[in-house]
Amino acid sequence: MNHILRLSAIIRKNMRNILRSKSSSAAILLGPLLIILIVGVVFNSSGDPVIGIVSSDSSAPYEQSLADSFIILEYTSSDACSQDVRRGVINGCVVFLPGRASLIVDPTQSAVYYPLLEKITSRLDAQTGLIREGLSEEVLSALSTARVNLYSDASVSKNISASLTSLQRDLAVLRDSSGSVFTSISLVSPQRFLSLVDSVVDAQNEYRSLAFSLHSAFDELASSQGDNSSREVANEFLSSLQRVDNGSIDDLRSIAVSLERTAQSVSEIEFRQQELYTQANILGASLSSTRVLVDALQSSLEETQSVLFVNISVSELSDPLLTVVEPVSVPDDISTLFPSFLVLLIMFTSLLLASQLVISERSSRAYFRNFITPTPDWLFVLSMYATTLLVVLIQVILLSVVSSFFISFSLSEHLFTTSILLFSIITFFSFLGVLMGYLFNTRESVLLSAITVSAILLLVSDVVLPIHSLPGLIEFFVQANPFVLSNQLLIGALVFQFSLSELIAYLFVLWLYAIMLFALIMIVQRVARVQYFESRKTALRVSSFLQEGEVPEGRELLVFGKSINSKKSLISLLESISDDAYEQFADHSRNVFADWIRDVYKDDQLSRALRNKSRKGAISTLKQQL
Amino acid sequence: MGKDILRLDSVVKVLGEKVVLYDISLDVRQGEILGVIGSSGSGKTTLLRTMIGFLVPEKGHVLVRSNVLSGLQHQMYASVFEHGPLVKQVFGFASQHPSIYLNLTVEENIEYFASLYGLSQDSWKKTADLLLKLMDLSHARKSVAKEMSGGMQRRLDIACAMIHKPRILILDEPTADLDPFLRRNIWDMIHRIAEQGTTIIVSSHSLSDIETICDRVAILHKGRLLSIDSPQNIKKQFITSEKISVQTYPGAYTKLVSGFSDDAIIDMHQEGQELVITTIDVESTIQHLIDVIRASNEKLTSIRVLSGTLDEAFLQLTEARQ
Repeated sequence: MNHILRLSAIIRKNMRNILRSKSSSAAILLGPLLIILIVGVVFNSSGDPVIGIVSSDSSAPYEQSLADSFIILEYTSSDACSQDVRRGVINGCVVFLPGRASLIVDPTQSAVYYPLLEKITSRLDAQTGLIREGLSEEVLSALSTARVNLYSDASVSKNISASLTSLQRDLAVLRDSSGSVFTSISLVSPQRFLSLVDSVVDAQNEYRSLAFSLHSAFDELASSQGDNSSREVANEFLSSLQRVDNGSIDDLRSIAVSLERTAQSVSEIEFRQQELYTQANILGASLSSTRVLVDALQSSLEETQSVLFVNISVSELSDPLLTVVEPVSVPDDISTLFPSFLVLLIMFTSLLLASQLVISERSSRAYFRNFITPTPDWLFVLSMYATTLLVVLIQVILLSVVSSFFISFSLSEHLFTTSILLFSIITFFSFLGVLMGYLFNTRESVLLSAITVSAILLLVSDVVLPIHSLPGLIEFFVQANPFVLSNQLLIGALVFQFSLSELIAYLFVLWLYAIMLFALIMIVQRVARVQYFESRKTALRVSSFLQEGEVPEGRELLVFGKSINSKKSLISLLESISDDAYEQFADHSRNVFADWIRDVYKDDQLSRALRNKSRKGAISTLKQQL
Repeated sequence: MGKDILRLDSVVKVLGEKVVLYDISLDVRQGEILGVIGSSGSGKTTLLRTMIGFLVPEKGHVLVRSNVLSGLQHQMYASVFEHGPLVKQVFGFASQHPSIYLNLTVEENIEYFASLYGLSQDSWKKTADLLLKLMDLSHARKSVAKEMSGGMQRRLDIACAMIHKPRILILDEPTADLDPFLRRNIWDMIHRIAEQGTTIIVSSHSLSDIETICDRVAILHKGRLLSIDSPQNIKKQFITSEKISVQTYPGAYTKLVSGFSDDAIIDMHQEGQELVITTIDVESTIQHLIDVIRASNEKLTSIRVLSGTLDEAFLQLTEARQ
């Protein structure tokens, strides 16, 4: 309870000190308002930037498009335009050349550089887009014509392909037919026919002899039987055989001659046919490859045709990939930036205020008196933190109220989560500020260190560096930057509406930092105090008497009018008194001897051992210890 | 005077590379006003800060009588370094430069330091009324400290040092940089505080003031305690000669001096209209002087004994040590 009273007294004193300084109170109250004012002006500014233009023959439409968003100054040369950019007369310069445009901007003006670049390129891109659309329209129209032509070409090629197929088929039929003809012809060759004729002649001769034999036989038979009919039959047979023999043989011979001639002709034809056949094969192969080509042409034409038949719009052709940015849940720029502004405000205010509070206290006349009061050191540290917390919370509330009116952004929507996060963030940066205040000994060095630390935290953050493109280890350190953590916490809560449980990992790390800082502060505070008031040498408490066994004068134990100045003399005393006398000083509720050992010898173990001991037990314990 | 309330045993204190206090042993008696005198850099402030346990000596002990600390009655003395919070309640300390917040009012300063001592509002308000009356600051309760005179700031500082009713009040150069009127004012106030039973340890360059108000004086020189005794005893011990200032009419001192012979006289010289005689035996010299004046045509108009001051004793002592 006493500590709470003390804490509130120190906080009251700090607040009075701050508020009675006009500049401090003005900074506390006007700081947040100033930030909102600046933010409002920046985001609602209607003033157009001034750019210079060096024209070319084809730049008229581009200049027209830029004139909507910029104040244009005409330049005749790029050097003059560039010079004015360097001087800061104009914000940027666009030099139009045939087929290209050069942008001259000043990268040292980082606040203007990227917005200007973005604005100019977007305007030029818009104009380029219009021109591209016109060109695309022309391209599409040409394609349309080509598509029609291709359609007719495809039909022609299809017909050619069909004709070739038919021709190839006919050729195959012809080849097959001629083949069978020649096969048949080869079967009736003249030599064979002649041998057949010879065989027929032989057979005829055999028949003839047989007929004669048969005629003779019939003659004999007719003679023997007297039957003339058999003879007649035999004669008939013989004469018919004679007829056949005469006619057929001649015919066969003339056929053979004809065949001979035919064979020669066939041989000639065969030769021709062989040639033809070879030619046909060559032609067939040519037809095949021609057909393959024609088929390929056909399919290519069909493919092209099918592609051309797809509906392509002008916008698709001019912008094949339309990029549309869809913010996750952010309605406008200022709301996205508000958490970062808040963290910036908290970081700078907490660091500067806490460090200045500490150094003001350390350099105040009353610093010494604070230390000689029975108020523990940690309470002063806590009071500095609590004062900073209070002031920064006032600023955040002011900022929140003002921002809810002017930029429609309120912290009250997720009050619980936001409060926890703000409390944690302010705690960390306040402790850091307190540490700065104790680390350095002058107001100037404290101020400089606080600003430097803030600047480093800001620079090594995602506000400036593209974290995800950094090498692994550096990215890890940047991610572990308390400013980055704080930023992510507030963005998570305020922009993406994450719950506290979703942010707990970041919060845990931040609190870990805060606890480490508090421990560091306590060490640094002690060192700073010794350095400030005493010397660089750590003070040593002299306790040589403990080794010697006798307590110094004045630390004796007074019992029964005797002065006990050592453990030995205590044993002697205990041996000399009765148990009743002993119990006057040592019972269950108190033990003067144990207290004395604890306070003078700082020997808690022996002191505990002596408690609840009888006189003899105490003597025994002391003797054992000695 | 009562028993000792504070004891220093063989205290050695080193600051940086310099030994500031050499083997200091002294006791402070209950209810007395102990003056600590010494030239600049003699170690007065270090000694006072060591007494309250703010600086820890490299060697020696600073002990406070246990009966002024609650809960430590079984011991005769307690170390100021081992019972921090209890010991801090015993001491009040007003340093050379007022340890107050200049942006706060008189009342706010008192309230703040009272809170640091864990006093309730009822408790400190009564004490504050008495203190402000004692310090003659009742009319300035609502005045902001930085708008007050140096003397008022000094008195406020002492009031802050006394808000918890300390048994021992330590004042480090309480009249430094103040005009004679304010110095007188402060010394009167210290006297009034002592009358209320508070033990006071005060350091000052103004030896004449110390001499008149202190019961005992400790003389520090280059970190060593040269003497600690009553001012009278110190003077008696260290001042070997006194001065007699004589004025006669018509003032023919040359003639007077020529007829004057005394073995006790060390020096005689004229200072303006007066003849100043330094002697080791005032009584015999005065007797002899009156006889010489009667025998001459001179008429005695005034005779004063300029008794030895603490300043002289201090100078004698320190010069002897040099």
